[in-house]
Amino acid sequence: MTQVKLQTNILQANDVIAGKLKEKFKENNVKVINLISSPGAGKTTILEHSLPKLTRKYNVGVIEGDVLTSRDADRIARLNVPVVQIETKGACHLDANMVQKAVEELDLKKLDLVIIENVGNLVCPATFELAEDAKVVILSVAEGSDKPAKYPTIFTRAKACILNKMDLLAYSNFSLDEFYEDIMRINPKLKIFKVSAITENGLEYWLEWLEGMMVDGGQKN
Amino acid sequence: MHELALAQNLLKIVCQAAQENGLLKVTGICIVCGEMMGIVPDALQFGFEVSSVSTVAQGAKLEYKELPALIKCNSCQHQYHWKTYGYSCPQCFHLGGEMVQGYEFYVDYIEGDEKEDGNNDTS
Repeated sequence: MTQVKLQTNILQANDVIAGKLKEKFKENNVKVINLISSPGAGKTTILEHSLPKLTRKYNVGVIEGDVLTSRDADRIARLNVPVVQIETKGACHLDANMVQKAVEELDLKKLDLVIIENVGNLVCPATFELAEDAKVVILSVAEGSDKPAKYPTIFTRAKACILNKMDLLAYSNFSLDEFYEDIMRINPKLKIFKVSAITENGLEYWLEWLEGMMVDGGQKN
Repeated sequence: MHELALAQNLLKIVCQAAQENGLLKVTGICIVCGEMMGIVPDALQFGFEVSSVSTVAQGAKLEYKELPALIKCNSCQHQYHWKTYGYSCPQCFHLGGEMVQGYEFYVDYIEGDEKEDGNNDTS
């Protein structure tokens, strides 16, 4: 019986590709956001309302991850934003390899920002680095205020959290007190933006934060 | 649900290491996993059993060591368990710190039987 010491990262195949992608983004001066939430929390709707404002200042590309269909990519394409759809055909998350292929279809030289909309899932996408500058988690009040405590990993790894569907707060049992208390315990550094994507209430604070991240990235014409 | 994808990554690493180290059969694999990774050992084991059929690692036993998620207080440097205390230091009550352990996910070692062809030049 022989024992062989390895200490090899099991995610290395993903992380190596993510590392290369990161260099590519850096060379082209492109910032990258990885949007993560449960299905139906409002990732695409937030993009639909954010993109027209972002594109006044920046050149933005979008990568859409879904298990099936190109419906989200179609919604984004209507805004005249370059978009690439990844259909995972069953996989519950995007990995760096899928993103690398999608990036080949974007002209990075002309972009300032790439937003990756991950597959709707609050668990698996947290594990896979996609060469992003920041993970942003979206939670909607309809899902309940206990979600950060139940699915903490993504809330510890994200830099910002958009609390969406605030217009439904009065009709839900979402407790802002419980939510903030749990976040303080789980990740006190997490930036929180209370937003209603459809009324655009609070959207400006999220966009301000995003622009803050863009500052050292510069703009291309 | 992503354990199958992880099991396939794991299998690649194990098979490559077995080949490089002249192992004819892999009997045991020790995996270290941080608490924050949310890996389900049973699902990983199942994914591995399914993917390792007809490889040197078929039938290998997965041993699984979980590392607790630890926060290092950025006031008093005390290290404490995130799951119990969150980011509130139980020693000095400071709120905030860095997670210094909890996102690990690696193969610590593999065990197996060597080839008996006398061509064993590894130490």
